[in-house]
Amino acid sequence: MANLLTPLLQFLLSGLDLALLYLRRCLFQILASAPLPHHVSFILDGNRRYARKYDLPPGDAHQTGFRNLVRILRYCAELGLPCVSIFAFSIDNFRRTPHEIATLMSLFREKLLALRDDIALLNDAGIRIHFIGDISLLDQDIRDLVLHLAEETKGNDRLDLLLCIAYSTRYEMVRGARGACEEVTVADVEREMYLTGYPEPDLLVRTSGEWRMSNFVQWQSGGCMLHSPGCLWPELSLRHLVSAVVRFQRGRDYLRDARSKIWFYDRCYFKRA
Amino acid sequence: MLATSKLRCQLFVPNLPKSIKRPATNHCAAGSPSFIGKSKACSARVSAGEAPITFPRGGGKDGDDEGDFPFGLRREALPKHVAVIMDGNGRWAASRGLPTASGHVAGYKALKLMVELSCRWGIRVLTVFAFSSENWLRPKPEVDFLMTLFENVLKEDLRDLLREDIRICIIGDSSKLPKTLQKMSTEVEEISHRNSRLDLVVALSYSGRTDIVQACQKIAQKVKNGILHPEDITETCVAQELETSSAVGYPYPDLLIRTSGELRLSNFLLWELAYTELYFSQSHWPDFGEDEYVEALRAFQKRQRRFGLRTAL
Repeated sequence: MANLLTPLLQFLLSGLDLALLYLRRCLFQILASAPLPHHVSFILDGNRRYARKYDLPPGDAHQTGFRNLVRILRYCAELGLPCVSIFAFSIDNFRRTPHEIATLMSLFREKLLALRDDIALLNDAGIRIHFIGDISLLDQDIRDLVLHLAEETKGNDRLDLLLCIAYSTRYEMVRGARGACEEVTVADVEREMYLTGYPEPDLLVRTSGEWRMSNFVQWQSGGCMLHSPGCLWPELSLRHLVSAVVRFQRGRDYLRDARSKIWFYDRCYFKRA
Repeated sequence: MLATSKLRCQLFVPNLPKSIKRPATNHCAAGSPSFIGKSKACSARVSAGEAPITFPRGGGKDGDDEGDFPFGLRREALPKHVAVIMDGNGRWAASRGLPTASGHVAGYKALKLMVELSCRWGIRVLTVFAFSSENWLRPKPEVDFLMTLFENVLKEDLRDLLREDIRICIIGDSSKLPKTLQKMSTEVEEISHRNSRLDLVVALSYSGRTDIVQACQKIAQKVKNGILHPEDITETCVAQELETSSAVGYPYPDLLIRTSGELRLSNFLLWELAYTELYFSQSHWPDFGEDEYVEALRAFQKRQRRFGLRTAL
């Protein structure tokens, strides 16, 4: 009897998974009837508060956050979003305690190794990984893993995943300033920025109800919609993602006008100057 | 546009704000003393845009206004620098069946109230987004009206602002402003530059990206002149060349308030807002009175500001 139960349970669970996948596809088809955002950015805030709230060991805080990240990325790929960026680690976070930095770096190392070993998963999903930030600040082995993954996935074209590690907006703008010392227009400043060549974010989602940019994509977010659901990052689920996309769709026309005015003014101002 | 001729008729507003002629004797209804508590039973709710605004005489100095400090706010936890995106004048006017110009006039009254409250509560810098570079694309009659409004404001209320020891800085691309307004703003900045109670930074024809690029241009010039090497360019170098560095002591906002429920930055202070707490109010700007301001400050006090670090457990 016990021998029959386990395969039966597995069969039922896989059936349930299929049913949920089918329901999600129907929901995403409905969402896709209105224009979707081209680029959604996430600030992953609230891992440690989640661990405290549910009495998890502190070491599990970021692991839980990572598992939810994989889940949300899967939903984004199923929904058909072309570009997703994740604010994983800010340059300002290097001012945290050495112990926490070491914990985060070992988590990156572990997950990057797992991705390298299972690269077929990324290739099947059509995800291309781009690493954004000053990777020279990372350890040598993590840097090598990062470059290897970017190289292995460069042929994929379904979802561009921008992983911002060792990134901050101001640092990016300073790079732009350094690179633009000959002729300074918007295009010259942008030339040396990390996020040049990628679409500007349409929607920035920061979890845990905090309303701050925290030195993330400020240059690029002049016409971007901001959204801060109250849930912590590990609690962000399908309904929050759907709600964020629906809000974007309601405000899309206004955002498109705002952004085109910013670009128009940039071109006019610097042509005149 | 067909709408432009209609707008021209609607924009005629016979009464622009008059100068303040006599000492204030009472606060406006929207700014009633808050020790009464949050109940609004004592007066019908009057939006800031409709209430008469006066600056209190002699009541704004330290020690005299302890009784006016709103309930629930801690003086030591107030932001030093508040930035405001004053959105919603047009929608406020449309909801009341008024011309857009009335919305802008009412918006100016709300700004005066906010300046008064900021002075009273010890906020040191107030940066307001009066006119963005993208607003030049609005209909010409509206733009002309706004330029006239700015000139009249600088002409008529200057004495009161100076008397209240307020320093005015105007940031943005002044070359696009009418010549008379450019001249007036230079004069106002010179006359008030010694004042120290409140820095009122008015962003006129301002774009965050343009500000950053002009800072990069100045740095590039220094590199060309051999004063600076490219590898010595740091965040401090860029910050010093931005127009907002004129706000002495507190160049970065602690709190950004945007009214009328829109959730975006609209090319405002893109460099400076890295760790600013963002607060989005549902009221339109002319309705943003003392209650709404207190609510925003209360929300600010509850925030945990970490600047990329961790709080101790």
